[in-house]
Amino acid sequence: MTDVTRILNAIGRGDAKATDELLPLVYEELRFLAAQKLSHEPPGRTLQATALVHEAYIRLVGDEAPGWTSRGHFFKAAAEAMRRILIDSARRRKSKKRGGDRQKIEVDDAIACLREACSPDDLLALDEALARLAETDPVKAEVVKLRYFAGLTVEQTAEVLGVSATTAKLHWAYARAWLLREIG
Amino acid sequence: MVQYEENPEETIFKVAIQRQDRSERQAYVLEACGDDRRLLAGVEALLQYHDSTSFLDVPVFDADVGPDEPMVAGGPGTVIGRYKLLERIGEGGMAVVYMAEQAPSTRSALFGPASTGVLSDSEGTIRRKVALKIIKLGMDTRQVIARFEAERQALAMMDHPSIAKVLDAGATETGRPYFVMELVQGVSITEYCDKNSLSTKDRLGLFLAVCNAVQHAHQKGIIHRDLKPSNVMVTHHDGRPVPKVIDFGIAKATNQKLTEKTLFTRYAHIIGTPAYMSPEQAELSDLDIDTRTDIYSLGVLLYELLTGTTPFSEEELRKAGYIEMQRVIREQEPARPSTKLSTLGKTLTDIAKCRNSTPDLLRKAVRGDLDWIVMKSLEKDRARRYETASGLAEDVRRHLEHEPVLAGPPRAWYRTKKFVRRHAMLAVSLVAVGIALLGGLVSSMAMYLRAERARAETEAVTAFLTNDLLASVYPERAKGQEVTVRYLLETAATNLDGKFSGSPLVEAQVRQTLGSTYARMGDHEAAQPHLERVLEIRRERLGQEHPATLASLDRLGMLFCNWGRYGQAEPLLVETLAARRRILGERHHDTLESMAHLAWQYMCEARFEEGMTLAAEALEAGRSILTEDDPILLRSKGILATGYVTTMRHAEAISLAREGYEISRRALADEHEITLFLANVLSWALEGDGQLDAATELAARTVELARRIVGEEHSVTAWAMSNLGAACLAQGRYDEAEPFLVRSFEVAMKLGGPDHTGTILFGLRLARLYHAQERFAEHEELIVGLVEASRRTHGENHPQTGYIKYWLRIRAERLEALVQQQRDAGDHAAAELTAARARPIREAWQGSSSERSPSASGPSP
Repeated sequence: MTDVTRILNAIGRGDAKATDELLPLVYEELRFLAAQKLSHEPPGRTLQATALVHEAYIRLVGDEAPGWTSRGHFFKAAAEAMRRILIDSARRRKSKKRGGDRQKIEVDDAIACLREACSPDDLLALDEALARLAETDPVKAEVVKLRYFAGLTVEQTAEVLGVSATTAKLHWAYARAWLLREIG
Repeated sequence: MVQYEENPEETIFKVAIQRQDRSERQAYVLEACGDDRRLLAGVEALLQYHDSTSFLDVPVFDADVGPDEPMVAGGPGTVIGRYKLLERIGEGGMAVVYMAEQAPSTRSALFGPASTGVLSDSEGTIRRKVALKIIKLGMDTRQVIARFEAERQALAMMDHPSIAKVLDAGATETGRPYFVMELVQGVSITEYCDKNSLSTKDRLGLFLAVCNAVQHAHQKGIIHRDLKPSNVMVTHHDGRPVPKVIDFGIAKATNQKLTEKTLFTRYAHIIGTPAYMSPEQAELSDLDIDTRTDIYSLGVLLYELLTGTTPFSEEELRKAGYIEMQRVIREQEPARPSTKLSTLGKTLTDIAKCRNSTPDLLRKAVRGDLDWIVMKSLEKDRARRYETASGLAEDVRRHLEHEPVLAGPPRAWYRTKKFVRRHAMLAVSLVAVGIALLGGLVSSMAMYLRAERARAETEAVTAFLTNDLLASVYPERAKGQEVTVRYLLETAATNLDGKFSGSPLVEAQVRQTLGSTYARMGDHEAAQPHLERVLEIRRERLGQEHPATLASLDRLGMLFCNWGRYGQAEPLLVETLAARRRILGERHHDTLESMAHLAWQYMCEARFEEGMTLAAEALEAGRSILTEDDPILLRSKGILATGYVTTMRHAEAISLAREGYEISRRALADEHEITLFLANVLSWALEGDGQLDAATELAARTVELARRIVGEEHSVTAWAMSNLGAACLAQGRYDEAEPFLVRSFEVAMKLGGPDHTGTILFGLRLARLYHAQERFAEHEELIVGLVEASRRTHGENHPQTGYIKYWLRIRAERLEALVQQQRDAGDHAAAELTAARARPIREAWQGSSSERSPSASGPSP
């Protein structure tokens, strides 16, 4: 049994502290994978958040398939980890001050050469708005993280959050419009 | 959170975005906000952002790695190619859909001039509104567009009121692929049915229209690959609900090959709609998706229309994990719809209410016919599904009209059980051999026997296989059991590899039996590898000229011939005949067989003189050494008579065919393959001679018999149906003729492809029907296709090509005369349309290839 499987099982049993253990593991794995992918994939290839997250899942949990509920915990952690990776990178790129860690540099370089959906400014503005949304409405903030940072579909997002697909869709539509209005 | 849910801005926003109609939405927002200007401004701003695209539409990492450029086109107002985006009308997992406006000057450039449908409904200065779908996820745009281009011709041929036309494809400035489609404003079929509480009967009515649309596409060679409720919209036309299938051609264009490597990347897509995915799609091999994949998805759709749920729920499949999901789709039998209804508990009441029914009545309505129809569509083995969408529709129609349906209770077991009951003795040995093949017992037995008293007994084993077991599938010996035996065949075939490594000749004999059996069942593709392997083994072990080697050469040749692969068949059959003449002499049974086979090959290639000469030769030589009821003689008579019909010598044809037919009936039985063949020749000759009543009667009997013995999808049945249709056509009974002519053409197309002699012949009869019915558009489309096929198969100067060209000329000249009339009447717009319609017909008639050599009608030997 892998560490992550053990943690997921603990979360499944209601051990709230285990959640704190999960995030750093997932974070490191995702950053490692992103760096590896981005530096090895030839240009023109596609890198997808969802692929990354699923691959991390297979690597960390394996094929033991512990059911969707615990996978849901994993995806929430992964979405948060992806958010941190991207926001950290955007910050560093913006300040042009890079950390000394070689892996981080690779990630930043790679992310910088991504034909990205948005500029570091957009990303940072989004993150601030997202933080405001999370204060008033944590569920919708979670929807945004899962959809935007982990690349899950509406249906998958609904599964993770245990709501109907229709609800998830409406939440996403509202959160999306709300954030865009906030950013202006 | 509660407080947040009560936030009026959110509530109004959420209600508003669910209103499809713009003005309705606007009215709602104004009313809901009342006097609150701030609230109104807030909601309107949200809606504006909702309607526009933004960087949030694509997950942050789902960007292509490459040079800098923005991801997604801007919102309304943006111009993409020839289209101006008007508003966003939908968003799915992988695409955003806009309503867009098409610049008027470009409409005709999209199509060849033949597609009058497109031209006629966008008049002059009216700016046509279309739906423009931009694919969001990272894909190789060039490949997507190349794949679309490859299908564009075929897509443009689709013209059906229930198919939304796909008009165009291209790439946005940011390199995303996009598709342009006919704009369909409606809701998904399931939503429509539920909202309007349609009864089961009305649902079936809509479903029939969907089947017809899918059938139309299949006839044009287009497979949808992604049929699901959200791709079947319902709109109102003249107050009537009309289903519209959207996204034809798009799944194929955007479908990258699924491999282990791309599995993760594709995960999200696969997870999109696993509930509608056929077992062969779940394989991920992507090797051979065919029209029956759509039949499966139609089955799921029907299941959902009846029960409100899919056979496997999305939730169930997704929870299961990827590997398990594949396994379920490939292996697990879904619950029958009526059983499923019983498991729904409380929700059943709601589901019944949506169908204007009660739980009990609904269960009763679904149980039986509808259960079986659905289950037949959902067969894991696509060979057991309905062969065509119209076959499925036909059964639904039969149910609606209280006729018995073709689908029966679950296949394999039911059939096997019945079979076992009827043939207790045979079944025991059958099961024994099945197990033996499975466990490799035959091989060890063969090895044992070889060590002991080898040959004689080994042959006994295979003779048993050949004569007692597998031969029971020969249509004339076992009427109607082929499904069960087919199952055993497949089991045997898949377990054959490596089992006979010590005794290749035994393997060859077993394979010869398997291959010939498949060939008899009309499954050419399954037969081919076996027969090829047999030839290989025998050549190596017995030498080139051994009679057994030559027999396998002959089998393979006839396989290709019956398959319509004349180019591959001819050298094999020529080689066999030459070798047999040399080794066995002129007056040997096998040599005569070869002559008859090669003669048939020539007839199929429309090299009538060569075929007739050879058949006459076989007949002549055969009379002295064979009895009159020998299949070779009977076959030769049929071939020669066919030749007489094609050269309009009807009296001779009738006399010869009738002679053979009577002998064959007496000696071999009515349902023997050769009797059916001769019956077809005879009814064809009678029709040609104008003896229409006799022709009709014989053809009808043959259709009935052939359907029962070899099934509808067999060349013999197709021919009989076409003959019956032709006889009805000649008597002006168009409505009776139509189903037979349509179906025979479909079957021939499916079995032999567009260039098969039979396809061309049956197609031409169908075209004549359309002409007689004044269905000119269909007529034109068909003859244009046929002339191309005939040029390829028969050559430019062949009579068959000439005959089709005659029809093209009639049509072209008629249309051109019409152009003149319209011009004289001052109706220039109409004249232009008609001229555009006439042009491809004249081109097809005159052909761009007059230099083409008459490849098929060579000199007679």
